[in-house]
Amino acid sequence: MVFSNLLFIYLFLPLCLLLYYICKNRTYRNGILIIFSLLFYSFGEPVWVVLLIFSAIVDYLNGLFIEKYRGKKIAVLGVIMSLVINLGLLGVFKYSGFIISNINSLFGLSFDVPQLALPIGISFYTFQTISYTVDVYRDKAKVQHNFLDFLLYVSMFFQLVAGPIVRYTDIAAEIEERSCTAEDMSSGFFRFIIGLGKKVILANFTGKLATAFLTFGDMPSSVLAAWSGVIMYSLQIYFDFSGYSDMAIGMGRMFGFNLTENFNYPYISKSASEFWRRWHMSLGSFFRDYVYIPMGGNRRHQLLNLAVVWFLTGLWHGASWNYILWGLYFGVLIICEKYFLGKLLEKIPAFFSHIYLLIIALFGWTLFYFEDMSEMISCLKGMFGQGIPLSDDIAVSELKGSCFIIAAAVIFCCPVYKAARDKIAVLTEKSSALKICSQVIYCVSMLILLIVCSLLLVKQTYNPFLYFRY
Amino acid sequence: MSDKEKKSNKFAVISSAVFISFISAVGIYFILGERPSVSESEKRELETMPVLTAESYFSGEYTAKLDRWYTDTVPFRDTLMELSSFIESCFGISSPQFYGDVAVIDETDEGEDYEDYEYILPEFTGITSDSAVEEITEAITEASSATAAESVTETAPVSEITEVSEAVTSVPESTVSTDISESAVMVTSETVTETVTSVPETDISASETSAETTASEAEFNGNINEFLNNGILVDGVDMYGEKAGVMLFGGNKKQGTRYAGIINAYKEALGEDVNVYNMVVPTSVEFYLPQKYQKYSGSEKEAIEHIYSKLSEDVISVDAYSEIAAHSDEYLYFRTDHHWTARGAYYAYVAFCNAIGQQAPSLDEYEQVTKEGYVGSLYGYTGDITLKNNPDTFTYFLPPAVYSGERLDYNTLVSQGGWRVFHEYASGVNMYGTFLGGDNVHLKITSDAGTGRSIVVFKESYGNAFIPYLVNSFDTVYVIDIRYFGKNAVEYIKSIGATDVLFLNNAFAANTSQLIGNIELLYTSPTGVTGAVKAKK
Repeated sequence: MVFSNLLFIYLFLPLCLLLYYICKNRTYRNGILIIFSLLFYSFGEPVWVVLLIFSAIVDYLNGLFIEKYRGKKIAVLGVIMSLVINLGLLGVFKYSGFIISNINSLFGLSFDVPQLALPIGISFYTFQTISYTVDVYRDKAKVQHNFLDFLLYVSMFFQLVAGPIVRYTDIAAEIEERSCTAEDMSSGFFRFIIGLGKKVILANFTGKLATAFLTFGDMPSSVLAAWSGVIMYSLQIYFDFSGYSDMAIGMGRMFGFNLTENFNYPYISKSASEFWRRWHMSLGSFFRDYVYIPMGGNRRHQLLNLAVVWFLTGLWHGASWNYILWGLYFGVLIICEKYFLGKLLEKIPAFFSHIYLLIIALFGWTLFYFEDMSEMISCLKGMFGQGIPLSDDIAVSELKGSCFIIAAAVIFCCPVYKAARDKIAVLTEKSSALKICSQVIYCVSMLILLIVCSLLLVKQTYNPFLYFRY
Repeated sequence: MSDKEKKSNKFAVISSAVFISFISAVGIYFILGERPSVSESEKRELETMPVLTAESYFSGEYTAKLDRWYTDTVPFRDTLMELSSFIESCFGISSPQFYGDVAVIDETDEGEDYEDYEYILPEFTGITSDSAVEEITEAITEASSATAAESVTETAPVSEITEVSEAVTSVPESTVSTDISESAVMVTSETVTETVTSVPETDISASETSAETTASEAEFNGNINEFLNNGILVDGVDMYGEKAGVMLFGGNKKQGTRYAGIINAYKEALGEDVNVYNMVVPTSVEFYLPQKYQKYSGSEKEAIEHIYSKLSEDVISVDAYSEIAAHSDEYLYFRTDHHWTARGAYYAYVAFCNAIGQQAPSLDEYEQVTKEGYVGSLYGYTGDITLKNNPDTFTYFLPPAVYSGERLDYNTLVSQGGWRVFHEYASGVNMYGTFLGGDNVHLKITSDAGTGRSIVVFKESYGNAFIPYLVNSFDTVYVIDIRYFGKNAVEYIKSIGATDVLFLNNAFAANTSQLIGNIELLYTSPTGVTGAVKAKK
């Protein structure tokens, strides 16, 4: 199940909240969350929910093992077990098809390529359990003796399918003791609805345009269409992903958890390095803490470390060469920035470094979007105007037909919303009447946003075009 | 609640309460409220609630279907959908919207290997009538057990799906009432499957009766899906002073050659005694598509001329195009539907009269009836609010003749009792069903024309609006829908002693492989389209 879904918003969530708050003690509340989380997960993965539980059991035991042998060399076995099993799961379920088809084409063999469907969220929860075991080994995290509490950490439905990748240390305390004030509840709702709006309005509509522009035969229909497609996809992926994180963080708050932020307006960055400090922050910090630094960070063979990290970052996003290419592309840019480009970017006017970032981000997403290399090349050729018209009627009318949404999407890439809220808070500080007024307006607009999103969700099954062409 | 929770400020308490109660209240309503089973505007049956079995659960199908069902059948769906369309229309400046896979038409693309293409009539399939009967029954049973095309997809290639669903939809009888009455209820697949499987396989009449209930499943008045097209353009087109939608033409000449080939074969088989007429009529895109969008639509004029050039001299071609083109400032096509209006069909009739050597009565001699607020298939397919906001006026003309219709069984062609030619109560999205009560009905209309001639018309849904005019020209009019017919057409025409035969298709249909395939089946199969479906497998 996904969050942007009527069944989730109007059945799953209220039912979960109701049962959760009927229970008074923590054990029951955690129990309710676990049940709902497993229900949530099994809704999409009725079979592979066992993998999730398996991964939780493995690392729960690893934690206990490390505690038992703390100080002895054998304790490292716990970490090794965790890595082998979790990465093994990832390897089998996410990468086996990719690896075997590459071996086949490399050596001219014909092994059967396994057709395993990727279990939802496996990339997220395996990383979480690894981080737990490693943190326990490093003595940064306390061992969890209660399996259910540990299972809750692994399975919490709001961060299960699309992150953020929550560190055990960040929420260990809240698993055992947490409170949810009315402020938490209302701000949680607001955050959830904002996330929903990002997903259902901005991401879905820019996504629709991106698909329309980037689905082509030999070449994009025009230069305008190629560029628009890539820009729309850049907007879509940001609002989709950050909308999900917002919804996760909002729901976390409704249940008393404070999850780490995952996005911080990445498109206002001035360099690739900054972009990655603002984009999918929990993934970046995971690779930093569990790969880059253990490998030696900037103290020894930094180039190799960076190359490995960016190769893995690319690979993590999907089992296909274009993702690896995309990861390495950023790796190269970041290395360049480290050695010379960074200084240049600081010197030139901010305007140009913003443009620099936007352009490299757009080309990055072009690599990311096309799993088919020949299509990618056609799109890139199209962007440089090779053999296609500058503009076409369909592209123009598509853009016109969604121009307000596009404008809104571009505006909300910048921190205007936050700035507006801060400004209003300052303005209404002195007068309580004004403050109430602004709060009421805010609440009503959130309600309207929720209704609008729900209406748009009704239309998502509207699909008479499914069999449009026989 | 802890102390901390109690101290919270009022606003937070109130807003939390508002949101929790809102999602809970809506949630409860979504459970208790009445869920629709049919979408009138989309012309389709909505998802049904899945049945929980171990298999369906572990395959993930159950939860996926449950989810789709929950959203698809949300209470007040059509109203919410309209609101949703309205919201979407606020997302940008109103501008031409393209739906479907619209591509620039390459006029030089005349269809794959067109140059070398020579029409070869498919061989006579030669199955016996007895086995055909069983096969029809089987086809019905199979098709009804696989209601949603989607569920079939998993097991069968697409070509078969269309055929199977046609076999089902081809059953007339009570289906027609579904076409025209909004209150008609569609029956779920479960019911149908049970009924069908409970009858002995050889008992065709019983299986037909049960199949009646399934007929409404896919077919309403002329499903756009059936025609080869290049998408739909809405809002870039003005028709009669209002914004309109048009279906973009994407035919190819190879199919045109094929169409002409099979018509020639009919003429040859029927011999000199029977006049064979062919009339391919243009659609709205031909006259109302602005110049700047011409590149997205093929030329119907060329496609029609191509077909006519491939027809043998013995087939009488009817030039409806010129007659319609001469009146294109009149209200000849719907803005919100892919059909022509009764007025459009009238000019085709005038052209047809010229071909048969008669004089068509002037429109003034007809009694005119008008209904307002028609929003047709193009809205159903695009959900574009522009169309909803520019409804059509639906006008039809009662002919100055005395006539009466009777409905024929789709397989045996035995009379099933009286049938109105005009279904004045057809309303809403089904208003085009005013003519003959919709598709999938076979009719015999008898009139006092006194010309001594009888005609068999093979048509798709465009024919529905045209047929009523014929009562002034023929004593007997047999109306056969090309897509649903259970007999060999040549034998049939001979057996009833018709003097004239008319093939009437719109330009899309005459370029659509599947439809041409049906005309071939009527020729080659002893059991027509419906019986041949099974045999072809």
